[in-house]
Amino acid sequence: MNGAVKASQDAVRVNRCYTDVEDSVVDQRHPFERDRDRILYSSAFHRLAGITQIVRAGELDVFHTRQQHTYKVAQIGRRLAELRIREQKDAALMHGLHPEVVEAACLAHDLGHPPFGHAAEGELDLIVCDPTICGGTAEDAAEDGYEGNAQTFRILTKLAVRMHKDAPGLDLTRATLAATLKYPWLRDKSHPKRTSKWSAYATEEREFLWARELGHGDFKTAEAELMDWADDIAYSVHDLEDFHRVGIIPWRDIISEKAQESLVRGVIDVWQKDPSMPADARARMIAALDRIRRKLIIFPAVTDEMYSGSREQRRQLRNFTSILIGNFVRAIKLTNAIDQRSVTIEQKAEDEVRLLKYFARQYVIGLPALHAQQYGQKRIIRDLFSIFLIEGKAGNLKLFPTRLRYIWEDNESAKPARLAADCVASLTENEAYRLHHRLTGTESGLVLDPIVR
Amino acid sequence: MVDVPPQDAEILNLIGAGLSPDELIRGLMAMQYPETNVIEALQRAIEREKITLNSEGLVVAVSQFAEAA
Repeated sequence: MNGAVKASQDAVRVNRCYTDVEDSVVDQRHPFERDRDRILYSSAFHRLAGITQIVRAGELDVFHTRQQHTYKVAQIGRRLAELRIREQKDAALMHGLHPEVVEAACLAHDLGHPPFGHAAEGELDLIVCDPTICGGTAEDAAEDGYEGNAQTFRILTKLAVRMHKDAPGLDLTRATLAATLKYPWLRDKSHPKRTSKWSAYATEEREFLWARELGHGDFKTAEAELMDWADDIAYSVHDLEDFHRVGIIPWRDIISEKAQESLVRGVIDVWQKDPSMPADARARMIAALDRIRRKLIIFPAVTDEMYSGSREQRRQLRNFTSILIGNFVRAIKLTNAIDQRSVTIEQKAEDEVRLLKYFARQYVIGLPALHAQQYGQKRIIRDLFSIFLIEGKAGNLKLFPTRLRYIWEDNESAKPARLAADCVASLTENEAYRLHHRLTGTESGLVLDPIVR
Repeated sequence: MVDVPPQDAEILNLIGAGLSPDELIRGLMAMQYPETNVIEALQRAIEREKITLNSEGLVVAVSQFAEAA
């Protein structure tokens, strides 16, 4: 790539939609540093401390909140970028790879998660597409439903409050916005890849196309790839650690030959929903399980003992996870082309991450208490959505927490179901529980307590 | 405080270019070291960055691992 082309691409990457003050006399930061800091200081980021990772935020201090998970994703993402820049200087330059952009994208990646995690996400998708379920009309519907990644992009470009209402969102650079797009397309229910995961709603199509100006086809930018891999690493290792500490992971089963068939079948059953699952998926999962078992052999305090928090258990757990993370961090490389996928990831590492994610999810999702919790949480989501939808359409904004009123006031052209979902998605779990109690009359709380601040 | 044996050098001698963890443990126990000592020595060697596990799950010397990378 020649110097003039590179300089032009760099200029495009630091563009913002609404402001163009890059050589500020009062702000010493690089544009990408400002992006990262804006995300960190946003109320959407602050909210993540009250949002579930897999288990309800605050249930036990040992579990990661979504904010803690996000900090760790950001740390891993930054290290991935720095390592690639050190080891692949030319490829990094070609891709415009910048550690601040990766870190910013990592800090932003889960902003769009609603209270109560994936259970709520599925519920919101259903009722945004068909609000008649909740007392709305077909005309209220937003056809592209709800998706956490698309909600993240909507928060960054529309809902986050920073400047006047004609410049909504955080006014991030093009590079940072592009780096947050894990699934760089709008929803298309006729396309197998674009049905269940997408990164922008139709309401943000203009901003999406602007962010993707330097993109190629359906390929994520290099920075988005590193963010995605960092998220996978953190999820597969840190969440597993959490559940290990409360004794939910049956390591004896995992390391035993007897349980191999049911474990592998379980992973494949989940993987089958992905149209790109390869023909040799089963053989790959068996091999991945063998490698994980082999890696566990020198950590008997992890596999042979019920976790009690002893020094030796904590030490061996730390050594095991540190080795895993190191292997996964080294497994990703940049490619030397920009019109195809920008990274390669060692297949063995991808397979092990898939398996570890399955362990973390499988043994928790099987818990009866979690099912009961999610049943109640889905009811709360539906009730709140219904109230926001009906009262928002009626203009009864006095009922709404002050912090949420601007969503209806500033976005009159959006479908009511979209705005109702925005309100639900803006709450922490504690706020959702308490607001639900108040609005349904089960527990009014103190009149001086707005609940949502 | 003196480390309990086996020492790092003994572990590295046995590993060679890479050894599966169970073979390494068996090999060290065959040298009459109790299993608890062996596990402790391996943790220490990991913490001192003398050994690590490669992507296949084999125990390798960090120096060789870095060269290969």
